Amino acid sequence: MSSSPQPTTAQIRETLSAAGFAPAAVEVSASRTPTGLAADAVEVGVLGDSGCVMAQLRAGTVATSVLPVLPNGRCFLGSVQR
Amino acid sequence: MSNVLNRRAVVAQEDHRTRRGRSLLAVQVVGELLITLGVIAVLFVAWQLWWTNVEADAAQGAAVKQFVQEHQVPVTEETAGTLPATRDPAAMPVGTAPAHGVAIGVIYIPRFGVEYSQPIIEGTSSDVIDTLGLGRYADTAMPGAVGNFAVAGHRQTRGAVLDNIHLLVPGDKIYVQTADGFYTYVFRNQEIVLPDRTDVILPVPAQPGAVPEQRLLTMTSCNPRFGSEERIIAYSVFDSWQPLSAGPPAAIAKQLAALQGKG
Repeated sequence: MSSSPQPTTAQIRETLSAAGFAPAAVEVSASRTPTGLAADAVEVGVLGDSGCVMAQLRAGTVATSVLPVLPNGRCFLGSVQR
Repeated sequence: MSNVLNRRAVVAQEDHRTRRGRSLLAVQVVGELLITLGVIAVLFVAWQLWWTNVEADAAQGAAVKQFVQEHQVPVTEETAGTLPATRDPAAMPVGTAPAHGVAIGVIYIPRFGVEYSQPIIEGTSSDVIDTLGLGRYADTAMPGAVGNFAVAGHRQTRGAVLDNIHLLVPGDKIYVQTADGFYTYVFRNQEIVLPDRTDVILPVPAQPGAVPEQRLLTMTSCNPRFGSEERIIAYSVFDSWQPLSAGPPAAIAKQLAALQGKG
């Protein structure tokens, strides 16, 4: 994942799964938009015991924060992106 | 005899010349028409990308000032940031939707700049979002209510109120001021969808029929930045509120003081 400045959704999933995170606990936003453009940023939500670890990967930088888990047990609002 | 022949030759030559002259004239006319059309197209783009912003910025700035000055709040060193930001959501006032085109409040998004504030107006038709900024989708929740408080704004042109929507970072605070108080939302995630995905403004976005348990804020705009083939959706979750009498959240206190102060 560190090898490319803007990893794809699949690369992020692979890396997290290799690091031991259960795929069901991980949501990753699309690195390509519906019309095939590159997304400005890719967001990751990892469901933890005490909250959602939210990360945003943008042009080689990562911003993270911990936010409360949503009542439905997910980290992302909107479309399910597990 | 030779004279006649000569004359014929001369006439033929003249004919040829006028024909050439005519076709040259036609080329010139077409060329000038194309240049004129080009200038008009450039002027149209300038109008759309620049002048509509100038006009809309003025209208939006005036609407923000009017709302802020009609709803004076105490902004002093003591009130700014010293009061507890978290208050019981059960006691939280939730306004009722005003008529179409009437101001609901003001939104402050520090990620978009320390000066960023935009009016929130009822309705999403072009008369609202072309001049007044963010429009609330009718029948969605009001600020602070359980459900989805959904607003739309232009990405480019006519104020470009959500130009920088793609720059929001999870955890960013978004402040909404109404006649009742300040509502703080925290940005969570975004997604890019095709324009037919109206389910993003459902009470639980993209989950038809789900019963809402949370207070959400959803902002929608066009994507890509200079196109409209897609929509960019930014979801935020309610965090806290405070009544107007408690003053603004510390992060927007200076900005609000400036807005209230200027006549």
